[in-house]
Amino acid sequence: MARFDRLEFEDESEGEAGDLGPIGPAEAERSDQSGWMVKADDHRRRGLYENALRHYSRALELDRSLVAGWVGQVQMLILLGEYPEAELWSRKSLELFKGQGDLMAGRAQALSRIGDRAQALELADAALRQEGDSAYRWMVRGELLVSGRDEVDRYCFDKAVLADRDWLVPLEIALIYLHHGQPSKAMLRARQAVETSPGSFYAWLIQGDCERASGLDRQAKASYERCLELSPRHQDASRRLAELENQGWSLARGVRRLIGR
Amino acid sequence: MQCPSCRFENMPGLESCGRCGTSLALATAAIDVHPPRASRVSKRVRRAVPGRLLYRARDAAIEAWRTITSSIIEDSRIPLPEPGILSRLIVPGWAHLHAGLRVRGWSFLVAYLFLLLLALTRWGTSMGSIAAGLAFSVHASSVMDVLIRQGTVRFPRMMAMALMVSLVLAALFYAPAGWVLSYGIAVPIVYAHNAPPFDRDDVVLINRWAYALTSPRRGDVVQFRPTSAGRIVDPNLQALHVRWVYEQTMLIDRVVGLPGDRVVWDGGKLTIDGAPVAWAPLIPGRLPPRLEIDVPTDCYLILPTTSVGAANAAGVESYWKTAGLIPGDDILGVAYLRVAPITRWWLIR
Repeated sequence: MARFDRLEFEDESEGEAGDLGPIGPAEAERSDQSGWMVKADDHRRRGLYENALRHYSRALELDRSLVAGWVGQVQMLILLGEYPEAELWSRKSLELFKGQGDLMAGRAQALSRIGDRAQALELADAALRQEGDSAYRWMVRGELLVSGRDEVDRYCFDKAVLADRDWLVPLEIALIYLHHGQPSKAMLRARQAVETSPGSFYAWLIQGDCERASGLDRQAKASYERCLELSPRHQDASRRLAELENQGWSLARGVRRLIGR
Repeated sequence: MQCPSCRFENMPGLESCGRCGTSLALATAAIDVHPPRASRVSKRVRRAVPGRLLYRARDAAIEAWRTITSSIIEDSRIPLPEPGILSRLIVPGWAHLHAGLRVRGWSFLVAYLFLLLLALTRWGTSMGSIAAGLAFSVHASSVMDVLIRQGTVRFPRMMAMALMVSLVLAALFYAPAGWVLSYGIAVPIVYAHNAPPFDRDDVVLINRWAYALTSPRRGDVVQFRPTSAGRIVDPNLQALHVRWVYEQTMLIDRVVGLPGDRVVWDGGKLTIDGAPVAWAPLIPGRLPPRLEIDVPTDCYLILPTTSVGAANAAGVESYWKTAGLIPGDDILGVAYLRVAPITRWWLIR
């Protein structure tokens, strides 16, 4: 079956992201569920969302009660741009884990990306009312504010950063801003991620993307170069750097640079 | 059964964990842990189709609908009076009289009855239509007057109330009554030119339901569809208003004989089966001096003396023997009242 073909992990199809050395908080070579979860998290920190999704699935094969695995799957589907699938998967997961706040937040984020903002708001608020706290719930609430052009989104994202000091949180906030076409705000969050974890090449890559989208080509070039220093085989960074070097003068980019977006 | 998530020991038979709410099916049922994936085609389609815009349009439509419905409901909420008053709103002024407002009550009642009488007696004329409209307005005004007295109302709400009262009154009373009059018991026929014994602008009322349960009787003045021999339509009129053609294709005259009668017209006197009768067709002068007709069992004898053909073929006996025999289905109703001009307002006999 084609679906199971994707579970061939040895073939790192997203290996273009560069070095596969550990970046996350923990190193694990175990093949139990926690080991797969660690691997999934590790790939997530490299931006290898396809691989991370497979690892979450492998962890869930061993232990279906791992809520973090279900949440991770939904988050990966969203990061891969498969919003209807993420919505469907979060809905099915919520049938198993009723009232689970992060899954509700995941569904809210998927609905928001699809465009059903009204239902997404209800779900995001319901997720915040659930027991416990997590950075992801605040991130989703913040994204809904961003999509509604509400200026108080910053407070939600600050709450998310306070809830979890991991550098991945500001980085994924930067990705949210980028998705909604606000590169200047994204750049601030990406810098926050880089400051927290200067050894993470993926943070440098996203910072470069934000700077490039803002028209700050020189800074973007520096970020990509730093990314390549940390991960010399990183193909995305190489390609973007080459694009930057080969591109000519652009009026639109000049204007963006002037207005700081 | 132990919860696979929190390890809480639940009672057997439960579907979800009593502590954390996790589905206990997780422990037993086969659950697919591989999420569905989007194909390349579906990704391309999603990029091409602006699904976000569809949701935005839906949200905007829902918001607009909520705003409109809430304002309409708010503005059209009518404070209803007590049942004793409410039931008397059926007659203008009655509710006022019941509540002790004598001047207003009598004013509404008298004005309404006057206008209603005028509308009925002048039905089919312009005056009748205006009077009917005014009677309706007086009725609606009397209802509004009672409702407004229930509490202070703002202008938009008053407009909504007026609209609703008018709709309710029209639906309950005036539309059904107008339909019964216009298509049943008082169908107005307006003459556009002289057609003796009727003149131009005469309005005659026809009761189309007169023969719903009974059959035509001798001496009834009826509207009927003439036979092909009696139907002479002026081609110049055909190109004009349909009402003019109508006058030539629908005639009004008296039923002279019933099926099976032997009718004899001799020297201005009419006998049926040997018995003399006091009445005659509407224009007896157009008939020949002597005429004997045996009415077939499937026809009525209605001599079309008011038709254009009768004026041209007055002395031709064969014309009357063919044009006067009218099948029962071609008799449309009783012509019973001339309402215009006002100087000739009277029953048609």
